[in-house]
Amino acid sequence: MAQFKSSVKRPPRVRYASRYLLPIEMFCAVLLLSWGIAGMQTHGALSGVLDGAGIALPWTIVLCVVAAAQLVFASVELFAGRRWSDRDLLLSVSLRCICAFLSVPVWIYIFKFTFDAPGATFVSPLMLQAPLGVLWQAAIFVGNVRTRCLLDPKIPTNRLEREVQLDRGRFAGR
Amino acid sequence: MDQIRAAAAAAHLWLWVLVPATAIAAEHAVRTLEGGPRAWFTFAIVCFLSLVGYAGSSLTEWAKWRDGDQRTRFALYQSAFVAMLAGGVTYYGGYYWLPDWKIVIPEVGCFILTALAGFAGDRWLNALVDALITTLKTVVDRVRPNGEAK
Repeated sequence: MAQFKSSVKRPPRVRYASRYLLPIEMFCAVLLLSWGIAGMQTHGALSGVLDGAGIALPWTIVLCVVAAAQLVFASVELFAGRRWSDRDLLLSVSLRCICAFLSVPVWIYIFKFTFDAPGATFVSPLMLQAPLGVLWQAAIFVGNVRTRCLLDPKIPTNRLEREVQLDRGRFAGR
Repeated sequence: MDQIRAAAAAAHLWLWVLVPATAIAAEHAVRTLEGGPRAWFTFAIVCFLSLVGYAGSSLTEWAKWRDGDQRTRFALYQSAFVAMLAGGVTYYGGYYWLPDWKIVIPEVGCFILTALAGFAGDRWLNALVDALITTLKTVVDRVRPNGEAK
Protein backbone atom coordinates (compact mmCIF):
# COMPACT_ATOMS: atom_id res chain seq x y z
CA MET A 1 0.00 0.00 0.00
CA ALA A 2 2.81 2.33 0.93
CA GLN A 3 4.56 1.49 -2.34
CA PHE A 4 1.38 2.15 -4.28
CA LYS A 5 0.99 5.53 -2.62
CA SER A 6 4.57 6.53 -3.22
CA SER A 7 4.35 5.52 -6.89
CA VAL A 8 1.78 8.27 -7.56
CA LYS A 9 3.77 11.09 -9.20
CA ARG A 10 2.82 14.51 -7.94
CA PRO A 11 4.83 17.65 -8.52
CA PRO A 12 6.58 18.61 -5.30
CA ARG A 13 4.98 21.54 -3.52
CA VAL A 14 6.89 24.71 -2.86
CA ARG A 15 8.65 24.63 0.50
CA TYR A 16 7.25 27.48 2.51
CA ALA A 17 7.08 28.55 6.14
CA SER A 18 6.21 31.70 8.04
CA ARG A 19 9.21 31.94 10.33
CA TYR A 20 9.56 35.62 9.47
CA LEU A 21 6.38 36.24 11.49
CA LEU A 22 7.61 34.52 14.63
CA PRO A 23 9.50 37.45 16.26
CA ILE A 24 6.62 39.89 15.82
CA GLU A 25 4.21 37.19 16.95
CA MET A 26 6.20 36.65 20.13
CA PHE A 27 6.48 40.38 20.71
CA CYS A 28 2.70 40.85 20.38
CA ALA A 29 2.13 37.89 22.72
CA VAL A 30 4.49 39.32 25.34
CA LEU A 31 2.75 42.69 25.04
CA LEU A 32 -0.67 41.10 25.59
CA LEU A 33 0.70 38.97 28.41
CA SER A 34 2.10 42.02 30.18
CA TRP A 35 -1.29 43.75 30.03
CA GLY A 36 -2.94 40.57 31.30
CA ILE A 37 -0.51 40.34 34.23
CA ALA A 38 -1.13 44.04 34.94
CA GLY A 39 -4.71 43.04 35.79
CA MET A 40 -3.40 41.01 38.76
CA GLN A 41 -1.49 43.92 40.28
CA THR A 42 -2.92 45.74 43.26
CA HIS A 43 -1.69 49.20 42.29
CA GLY A 44 -1.56 51.35 39.19
CA ALA A 45 -4.07 53.10 36.95
CA LEU A 46 -5.18 49.98 35.06
CA SER A 47 -5.69 47.98 38.25
CA GLY A 48 -7.93 50.71 39.66
CA VAL A 49 -10.03 50.84 36.50
CA LEU A 50 -10.36 47.04 36.30
CA ASP A 51 -11.30 46.75 39.96
CA GLY A 52 -13.83 49.53 39.50
CA ALA A 53 -15.43 47.67 36.60
CA GLY A 54 -15.19 44.36 38.49
CA ILE A 55 -13.46 42.53 35.64
CA ALA A 56 -9.90 42.18 36.93
CA LEU A 57 -10.04 38.37 37.13
CA PRO A 58 -11.62 37.63 33.72
CA TRP A 59 -9.33 40.23 32.16
CA THR A 60 -6.27 38.47 33.55
CA ILE A 61 -7.51 34.97 32.68
CA VAL A 62 -8.48 35.70 29.07
CA LEU A 63 -5.51 37.89 28.18
CA CYS A 64 -2.95 35.62 29.83
CA VAL A 65 -4.36 32.40 28.36
CA VAL A 66 -4.52 33.73 24.78
CA ALA A 67 -1.12 35.43 25.00
CA ALA A 68 0.60 32.49 26.70
CA ALA A 69 -0.72 30.07 24.07
CA GLN A 70 0.52 32.30 21.27
CA LEU A 71 3.91 32.76 22.93
CA VAL A 72 4.37 29.03 23.52
CA PHE A 73 3.44 27.94 19.99
CA ALA A 74 5.59 30.65 18.39
CA SER A 75 8.56 29.88 20.66
CA VAL A 76 8.39 26.15 20.02
CA GLU A 77 8.45 26.69 16.26
CA LEU A 78 11.21 29.27 16.50
CA PHE A 79 13.53 27.09 18.55
CA ALA A 80 12.66 23.61 17.27
CA GLY A 81 10.87 24.00 13.96
CA ARG A 82 13.70 24.56 11.52
CA ARG A 83 13.85 20.94 10.38
CA TRP A 84 10.20 20.01 10.84
CA SER A 85 8.34 18.12 8.15
CA ASP A 86 5.51 19.84 6.27
CA ARG A 87 2.98 17.94 8.35
CA ASP A 88 4.40 19.18 11.66
CA LEU A 89 4.71 22.69 10.27
CA LEU A 90 1.09 22.58 9.15
CA LEU A 91 0.00 21.68 12.68
CA SER A 92 2.13 24.44 14.19
CA VAL A 93 0.95 27.07 11.69
CA SER A 94 -2.67 26.06 12.27
CA LEU A 95 -2.26 26.54 16.01
CA ARG A 96 -0.59 29.91 15.44
CA CYS A 97 -3.47 30.86 13.14
CA ILE A 98 -6.00 30.05 15.86
CA CYS A 99 -4.06 32.09 18.43
CA ALA A 100 -3.78 35.11 16.13
CA PHE A 101 -7.48 34.80 15.26
CA LEU A 102 -8.45 34.76 18.96
CA SER A 103 -6.10 37.67 19.73
CA VAL A 104 -7.93 39.97 17.30
CA PRO A 105 -11.21 40.08 19.31
CA VAL A 106 -9.20 40.37 22.53
CA TRP A 107 -7.35 43.46 21.24
CA ILE A 108 -10.64 44.89 19.91
CA TYR A 109 -12.12 44.35 23.36
CA ILE A 110 -9.20 46.21 24.91
CA PHE A 111 -9.74 49.04 22.42
CA LYS A 112 -13.44 49.25 23.32
CA PHE A 113 -12.63 48.96 27.01
CA THR A 114 -10.48 52.11 26.87
CA PHE A 115 -13.52 54.06 25.67
CA ASP A 116 -16.17 52.38 27.82
CA ALA A 117 -14.72 51.92 31.30
CA PRO A 118 -14.81 55.03 33.47
CA GLY A 119 -11.29 56.34 33.96
CA ALA A 120 -9.76 54.03 31.36
CA THR A 121 -8.65 56.97 29.23
CA PHE A 122 -5.92 57.53 31.82
CA VAL A 123 -4.31 54.29 30.67
CA SER A 124 -3.07 56.01 27.53
CA PRO A 125 -0.60 53.32 26.34
CA LEU A 126 -3.54 50.95 25.96
CA MET A 127 -5.36 53.39 23.67
CA LEU A 128 -2.29 53.58 21.46
CA GLN A 129 -1.37 49.92 21.51
CA ALA A 130 -4.82 48.38 21.03
CA PRO A 131 -5.37 49.47 17.38
CA LEU A 132 -1.80 48.49 16.55
CA GLY A 133 -2.35 45.16 18.28
CA VAL A 134 -5.42 44.52 16.11
CA LEU A 135 -3.50 45.37 12.95
CA TRP A 136 -0.46 43.28 13.85
CA GLN A 137 -2.50 40.25 14.84
CA ALA A 138 -4.57 40.55 11.66
CA ALA A 139 -1.36 40.67 9.60
CA ILE A 140 0.00 37.64 11.47
CA PHE A 141 -3.26 35.80 10.85
CA VAL A 142 -3.25 36.57 7.12
CA GLY A 143 0.39 35.49 6.77
CA ASN A 144 -0.24 32.25 8.61
CA VAL A 145 -3.39 31.46 6.61
CA ARG A 146 -1.35 31.89 3.41
CA THR A 147 1.31 29.55 4.73
CA ARG A 148 -1.32 27.09 5.87
CA CYS A 149 -2.77 27.07 2.34
CA LEU A 150 0.63 26.21 0.90
CA LEU A 151 1.36 23.51 3.46
CA ASP A 152 -2.00 21.73 3.38
CA PRO A 153 -1.84 18.99 0.72
CA LYS A 154 -5.65 18.95 0.46
CA ILE A 155 -5.78 22.54 -0.82
CA PRO A 156 -4.88 23.00 -4.50
CA THR A 157 -2.61 26.06 -4.72
CA ASN A 158 -0.84 26.00 -8.10
CA ARG A 159 -1.42 29.70 -8.71
CA LEU A 160 -0.15 30.71 -5.27
CA GLU A 161 2.90 28.46 -5.61
CA ARG A 162 3.72 30.12 -8.95
CA GLU A 163 3.42 33.54 -7.27
CA VAL A 164 5.77 32.45 -4.48
CA GLN A 165 8.32 31.15 -6.99
CA LEU A 166 8.10 34.40 -8.97
CA ASP A 167 8.64 36.41 -5.78
CA ARG A 168 11.65 34.26 -4.91
CA GLY A 169 13.06 34.78 -8.41
CA ARG A 170 12.58 38.52 -8.14
CA PHE A 171 14.19 38.56 -4.71
CA ALA A 172 17.16 36.58 -6.00
CA GLY A 173 17.51 38.98 -8.94
CA ARG A 174 16.70 36.33 -11.56
CA MET B 1 -17.84 6.84 10.65
CA ASP B 2 -21.58 6.31 11.10
CA GLN B 3 -21.32 7.66 14.62
CA ILE B 4 -19.60 10.79 13.34
CA ARG B 5 -22.35 11.21 10.73
CA ALA B 6 -25.02 10.74 13.41
CA ALA B 7 -23.28 13.31 15.63
CA ALA B 8 -23.07 15.74 12.71
CA ALA B 9 -26.77 15.23 11.98
CA ALA B 10 -27.60 15.80 15.66
CA ALA B 11 -25.47 18.96 15.62
CA HIS B 12 -27.37 20.11 12.57
CA LEU B 13 -30.69 19.51 14.33
CA TRP B 14 -29.37 21.27 17.44
CA LEU B 15 -28.61 24.32 15.26
CA TRP B 16 -32.29 24.56 14.34
CA VAL B 17 -33.06 24.95 18.07
CA LEU B 18 -30.01 26.91 19.19
CA VAL B 19 -30.07 29.61 16.54
CA PRO B 20 -33.71 30.72 17.05
CA ALA B 21 -33.34 30.51 20.86
CA THR B 22 -30.22 32.70 20.75
CA ALA B 23 -31.97 35.06 18.35
CA ILE B 24 -34.82 35.53 20.83
CA ALA B 25 -32.33 36.17 23.66
CA ALA B 26 -30.48 38.60 21.40
CA GLU B 27 -33.70 40.45 20.68
CA HIS B 28 -34.27 40.85 24.46
CA ALA B 29 -30.69 42.07 24.92
CA VAL B 30 -31.00 44.60 22.09
CA ARG B 31 -34.18 45.97 23.64
CA THR B 32 -32.33 46.39 26.94
CA LEU B 33 -29.38 48.14 25.31
CA GLU B 34 -31.38 50.24 22.84
CA GLY B 35 -30.87 53.96 23.28
CA GLY B 36 -28.13 53.41 25.84
CA PRO B 37 -24.77 55.10 25.62
CA ARG B 38 -22.50 53.63 22.96
CA ALA B 39 -25.16 51.17 21.68
CA TRP B 40 -24.29 52.00 18.06
CA PHE B 41 -20.58 51.96 18.80
CA THR B 42 -20.96 48.45 20.23
CA PHE B 43 -23.05 47.40 17.24
CA ALA B 44 -20.37 48.66 14.84
CA ILE B 45 -17.71 46.71 16.72
CA VAL B 46 -19.88 43.58 16.67
CA CYS B 47 -20.33 43.91 12.89
CA PHE B 48 -16.59 44.39 12.48
CA LEU B 49 -15.87 41.32 14.61
CA SER B 50 -18.31 39.23 12.59
CA LEU B 51 -16.54 40.35 9.42
CA VAL B 52 -13.21 39.38 11.00
CA GLY B 53 -14.62 35.90 11.57
CA TYR B 54 -16.00 35.82 8.03
CA ALA B 55 -12.64 36.91 6.65
CA GLY B 56 -10.96 34.15 8.63
CA SER B 57 -13.16 31.61 6.89
CA SER B 58 -13.23 32.91 3.32
CA LEU B 59 -9.90 34.71 3.07
CA THR B 60 -8.46 31.99 0.83
CA GLU B 61 -11.25 32.59 -1.68
CA TRP B 62 -11.14 36.38 -1.60
CA ALA B 63 -7.37 36.35 -2.00
CA LYS B 64 -7.61 33.59 -4.68
CA TRP B 65 -5.04 31.47 -2.90
CA ARG B 66 -7.09 28.34 -3.51
CA ASP B 67 -7.36 26.95 -7.05
CA GLY B 68 -10.46 25.43 -8.56
CA ASP B 69 -14.09 26.47 -8.46
CA GLN B 70 -14.65 29.66 -6.53
CA ARG B 71 -17.97 30.63 -5.04
CA THR B 72 -19.87 33.28 -6.98
CA ARG B 73 -19.71 36.84 -5.80
CA PHE B 74 -23.36 36.65 -4.74
CA ALA B 75 -22.64 33.54 -2.63
CA LEU B 76 -19.74 35.35 -0.96
CA TYR B 77 -21.94 38.35 -0.13
CA GLN B 78 -24.68 36.04 1.11
CA SER B 79 -22.27 34.26 3.42
CA ALA B 80 -20.92 37.61 4.66
CA PHE B 81 -24.47 38.62 5.52
CA VAL B 82 -25.13 35.30 7.29
CA ALA B 83 -21.84 35.64 9.19
CA MET B 84 -22.77 39.15 10.35
CA LEU B 85 -26.19 37.91 11.41
CA ALA B 86 -24.64 35.01 13.31
CA GLY B 87 -22.10 37.31 14.95
CA GLY B 88 -24.74 39.80 16.03
CA VAL B 89 -27.03 37.12 17.39
CA THR B 90 -24.14 35.52 19.28
CA TYR B 91 -22.93 38.76 20.85
CA TYR B 92 -26.34 39.94 22.01
CA GLY B 93 -27.43 36.41 22.94
CA GLY B 94 -24.25 35.98 24.95
CA TYR B 95 -24.80 39.37 26.56
CA TYR B 96 -28.24 38.12 27.64
CA TRP B 97 -27.26 34.63 28.78
CA LEU B 98 -23.71 34.75 30.12
CA PRO B 99 -24.40 36.88 33.22
CA ASP B 100 -27.26 34.52 34.17
CA TRP B 101 -24.94 31.54 34.01
CA LYS B 102 -22.44 33.25 36.33
CA ILE B 103 -19.67 32.67 33.81
CA VAL B 104 -16.48 34.46 34.76
CA ILE B 105 -16.00 35.70 31.20
CA PRO B 106 -18.00 38.85 30.49
CA GLU B 107 -17.81 40.96 27.34
CA VAL B 108 -14.44 39.72 26.13
CA GLY B 109 -15.92 36.20 25.97
CA CYS B 110 -18.82 37.53 23.92
CA PHE B 111 -16.32 39.21 21.59
CA ILE B 112 -14.37 36.00 21.04
CA LEU B 113 -17.62 34.07 20.51
CA THR B 114 -18.79 36.71 18.03
CA ALA B 115 -15.68 36.30 15.90
CA LEU B 116 -16.04 32.52 16.09
CA ALA B 117 -19.71 32.84 15.13
CA GLY B 118 -18.73 34.92 12.10
CA PHE B 119 -16.35 32.12 11.12
CA ALA B 120 -18.93 29.40 11.77
CA GLY B 121 -21.65 31.44 10.07
CA ASP B 122 -19.72 31.40 6.83
CA ARG B 123 -18.51 27.82 7.17
CA TRP B 124 -21.61 25.99 8.43
CA LEU B 125 -24.61 28.21 8.96
CA ASN B 126 -24.50 29.40 5.37
CA ALA B 127 -24.94 25.79 4.24
CA LEU B 128 -27.97 25.60 6.51
CA VAL B 129 -29.40 28.76 4.95
CA ASP B 130 -28.78 27.31 1.48
CA ALA B 131 -30.60 24.12 2.50
CA LEU B 132 -33.47 26.20 3.86
CA ILE B 133 -33.75 28.25 0.66
CA THR B 134 -33.66 25.09 -1.48
CA THR B 135 -36.37 23.49 0.66
CA LEU B 136 -38.53 26.61 0.44
CA LYS B 137 -38.07 26.71 -3.34
CA THR B 138 -39.11 23.06 -3.61
CA VAL B 139 -42.19 23.66 -1.46
CA VAL B 140 -43.17 26.75 -3.45
CA ASP B 141 -42.71 24.86 -6.73
CA ARG B 142 -44.97 22.05 -5.48
CA VAL B 143 -47.67 24.38 -4.16
CA ARG B 144 -47.66 26.58 -7.28
CA PRO B 145 -50.63 25.75 -9.56
CA ASN B 146 -49.90 24.08 -12.90
CA GLY B 147 -49.38 26.26 -15.91
CA GLU B 148 -47.99 29.24 -14.05
CA ALA B 149 -44.79 30.57 -15.49
CA LYS B 150 -41.78 29.71 -13.36
